[in-house]
Amino acid sequence: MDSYYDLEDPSDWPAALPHLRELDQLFRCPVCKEYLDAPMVVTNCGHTFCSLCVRRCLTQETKCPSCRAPTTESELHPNRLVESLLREFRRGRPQLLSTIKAASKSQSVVGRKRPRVSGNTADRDESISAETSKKYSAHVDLTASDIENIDGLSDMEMDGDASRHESASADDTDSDFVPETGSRRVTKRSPGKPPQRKVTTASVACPNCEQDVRQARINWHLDRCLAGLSTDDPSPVPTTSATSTQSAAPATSTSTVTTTKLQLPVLSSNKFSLPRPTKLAYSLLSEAKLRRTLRDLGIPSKGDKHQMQMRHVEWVNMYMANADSVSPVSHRVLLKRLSAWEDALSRQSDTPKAQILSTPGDVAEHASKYADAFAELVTQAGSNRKKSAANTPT
Amino acid sequence: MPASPALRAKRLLTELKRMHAQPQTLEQPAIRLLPSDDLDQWTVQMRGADATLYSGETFTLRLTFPPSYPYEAPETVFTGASIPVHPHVYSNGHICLSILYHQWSPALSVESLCLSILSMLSSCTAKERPPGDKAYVARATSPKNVHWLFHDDAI
Repeated sequence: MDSYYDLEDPSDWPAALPHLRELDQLFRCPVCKEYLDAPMVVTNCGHTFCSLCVRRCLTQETKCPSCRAPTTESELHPNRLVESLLREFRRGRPQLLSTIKAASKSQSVVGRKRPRVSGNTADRDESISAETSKKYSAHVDLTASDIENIDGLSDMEMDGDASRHESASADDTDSDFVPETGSRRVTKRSPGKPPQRKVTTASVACPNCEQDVRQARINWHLDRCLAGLSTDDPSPVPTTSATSTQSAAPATSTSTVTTTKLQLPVLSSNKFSLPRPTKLAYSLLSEAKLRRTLRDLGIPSKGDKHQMQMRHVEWVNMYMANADSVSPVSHRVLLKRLSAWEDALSRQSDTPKAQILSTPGDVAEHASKYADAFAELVTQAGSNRKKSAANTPT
Repeated sequence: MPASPALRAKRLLTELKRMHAQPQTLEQPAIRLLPSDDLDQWTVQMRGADATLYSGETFTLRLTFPPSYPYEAPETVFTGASIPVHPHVYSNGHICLSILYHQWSPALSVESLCLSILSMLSSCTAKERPPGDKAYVARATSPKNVHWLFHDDAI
């Protein structure tokens, strides 16, 4: 699980920049409070949510989670502009944060202002929420206009190329400032970032199956991986992707091939794609029929009818949300997520039961309540033994 | 009922962080999260808004998050010695407020819930218990098991 401090939150932005806080907030799904994942707009009211979040909500209640206007899944449409905006925002976020941090720090070093607003962590005590900050901005020493005047920020604004991030932020900072959070986040959190050109031997993680692939092979690997084809085939590159990876093709590495074989031997099977599930009227289906449907869909068909129904509902939502995504994962990954979801669910339902049974108070209460019955059983067992002992000699 | 343990945990952490990030500049914030080790049950201290009937009073809310949170509302009751005397609050702390029950939406949050309750208190015109308070309190278990009738839009 993510730790509390790893969470990206609008409060990462200095209180002196309420607009950036608000912008960060607007990019978040009202349901999960995370950045929108495959944003879908509800066309009749215009609210936007993560695809999976809104689908789960609509499973429970056919209303928009924000305004409760009646809505069905057919009214969901992908919000491509928001998706692109968010992608760029997230790419620039660490850089922007570190630049602001550095800018306010350099100002505090100069001593012109008291070092009150100095980036996200030190600022947390003094932070003001986006709404109230308008009222209180007079008390904050560093205002947004001050920050705009600082050289660091204007440099950053001109620097649109995300791949220049590390050098750019290092140049802008004080000598004692190390933008470690910025560079770490960029590499960790944006798998869609274009690979750095200067490094040719590095391996990158496939955003789909998460295995390490030699960078020169990543395009070829992605084409195969997304199409559900085997990725351990060192045969000539398919014609469709030949142009884009022509220069990279001779660099076919045997190490990639072997690791793929070691990690996922199952992937050597041919095209793996599961049929598109549809919603079902569960009350009209018998348990056996539902089990057969699940088996046909290629998802686990164990458990009773209720469990199968829950699994099918979640599978439909996951499948559709994956289809909405710009970079969908393979069905194999989706199946893993389904089983992870189910495992977590069963763990969750198991824990309270175990706690109730092991509460010492309950055990003591149980013992005292049935003390007479226990005593009676003990004497009964004793007399039985005597009886049988008396019987055996005869 | 959809439920996702991963989503639930992450969302609770996010909300926790947001509650902690509230303005500390105010000497007495209207809503304050009391420290706790339990992620599934939160205690929130609420101060009656100024220039209302509850000005200067302090109340404690207990929020218990069900496994299907945020698709289901947290069980929210007043607790402790000081329970506001309000036409929609029973003396055992149960609150008659639609968004705590069938009008809950996953887009709401702990913060918005607390603000709604605070607003409900603030718009009160007469301090009194709801009718049938004693009879209700005598047999009530969890507010989630009650079939609520929301009749009063004014407060």
